[in-house]
Amino acid sequence: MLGKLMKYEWKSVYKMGSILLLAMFAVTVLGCMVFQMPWMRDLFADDSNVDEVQAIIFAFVMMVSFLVYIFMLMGVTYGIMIFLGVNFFKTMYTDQGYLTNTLPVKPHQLLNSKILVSGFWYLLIEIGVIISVVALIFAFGGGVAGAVDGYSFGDAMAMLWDEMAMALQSEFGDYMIHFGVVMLIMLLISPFTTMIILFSALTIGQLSKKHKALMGILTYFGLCMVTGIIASVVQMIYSIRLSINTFQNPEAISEMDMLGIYDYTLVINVVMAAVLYYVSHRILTQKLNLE
Amino acid sequence: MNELVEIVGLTKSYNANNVAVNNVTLTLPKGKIIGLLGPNGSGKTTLIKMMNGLLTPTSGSIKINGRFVGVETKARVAYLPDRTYLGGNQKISEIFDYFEDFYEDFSREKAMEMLQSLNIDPSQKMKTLSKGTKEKVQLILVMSRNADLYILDEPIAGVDPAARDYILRTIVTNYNPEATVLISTHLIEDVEQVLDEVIFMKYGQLVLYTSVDMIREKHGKSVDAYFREVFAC
Repeated sequence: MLGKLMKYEWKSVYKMGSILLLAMFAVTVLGCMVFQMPWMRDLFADDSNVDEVQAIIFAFVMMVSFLVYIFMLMGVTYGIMIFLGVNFFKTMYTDQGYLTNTLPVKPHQLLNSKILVSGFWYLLIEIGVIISVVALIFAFGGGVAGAVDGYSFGDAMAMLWDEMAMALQSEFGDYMIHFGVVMLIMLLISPFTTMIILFSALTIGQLSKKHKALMGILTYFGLCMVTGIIASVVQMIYSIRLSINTFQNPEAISEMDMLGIYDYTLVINVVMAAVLYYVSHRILTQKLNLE
Repeated sequence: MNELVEIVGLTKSYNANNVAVNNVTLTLPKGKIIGLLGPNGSGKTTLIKMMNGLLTPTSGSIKINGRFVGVETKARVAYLPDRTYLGGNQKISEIFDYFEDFYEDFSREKAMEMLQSLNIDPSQKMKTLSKGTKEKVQLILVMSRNADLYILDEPIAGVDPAARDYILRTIVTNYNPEATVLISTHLIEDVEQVLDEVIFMKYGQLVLYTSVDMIREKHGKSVDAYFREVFAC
């Protein structure tokens, strides 16, 4: 039954998800085109003949374009989240919930189908955002590199890569692979934990007698705040402990100790998601009260 | 064993002053058409929602075919709620696919036959249909299942008399004779002709559970007339 539930969940999500991905693609292409325009080279070229007024106008256009781009990325990221939350709420707890909750399926199958499909779409959007940002960096690099004498696009990218590698090397030393793996796991897991937190909040909101949707939204912000506080407290404790250790025995501190904070953040997210999944399942099996 | 539904000490209270269903104990047999009758706010819909697992009882229990409400009972209960539960963007044919995927007892053939008899195009989207047609589509979905228990909450409310006749005819001619049909309504006169038994509910409590013949023999009245007497304000 999980496969069938996922099939219909996919049908209800893929249109909006595709529209948002296309919108992001379009804005990225536009952004890349802006960076490739001739005036971009003129602005950064060594022998630039751009006067002050033109430079201000170009800078203003760039700033506006950058802001539009940032708002667009935020719009897509929050847009998909709002859409997925509304879709979950509508199909589970409004009139459509009368059909969903009378299907001969187990509550965990319902939850899993929604978390997996929504999480996957959120992951796609996240990957889309990363690709978009990288594409713009490349386009900017290419545009500027072309303007500077003796520099090719390849040179600019190689410099950028070297800078990044040096920064990571100085921060994490021999544990760069560990850092990469943790970041990759976080990237892959966080869309699903985000969906679990969102759906759990909307489910917990059902316990309220009135204004269930509003209570769900407030619960979501509450849960985000709690997760943030827990993460901050753990980070603080970790940092204090690290500082004490550094003070007592500086040689004993390795990059791995610095890296531990990311491991803890990952564990906190996973534990929080597991607890909230359990709570949601319990509400669906023992506290469901559709109006 | 002829019992299909066993309800014991069922209570649903929202707070101390709002008890929607109050300590109802009831056993429903197989193979009957039963009217669940009562004025607005008598607890009919609350009882039905608990039977379908949409509301959690405060206390008491419900068993259908010997099983507590859950996945197994949902597979054997065909439920028509008092609202449109289908998404507006779905085509009727897509909804048939959905039912076919989730309910083993759903007959697409039967559903298509009923749809054709009403001249409804299966490629139409739900949002393009009138309220009455939406209700008919939902009824078709429910009655195209070969379920053990059909629970119909206000199936004829809000539709014209011609549609009412069609709906009642559909119920009577399409349900599995081994199954039980529970119809909740306050339009008693319209459904009386098809009922075998009636349940009267008032203020969340069970007032009466008897056969239609018994009411006619004992009280010399139609169910509608007797209902008006019992629930006179």
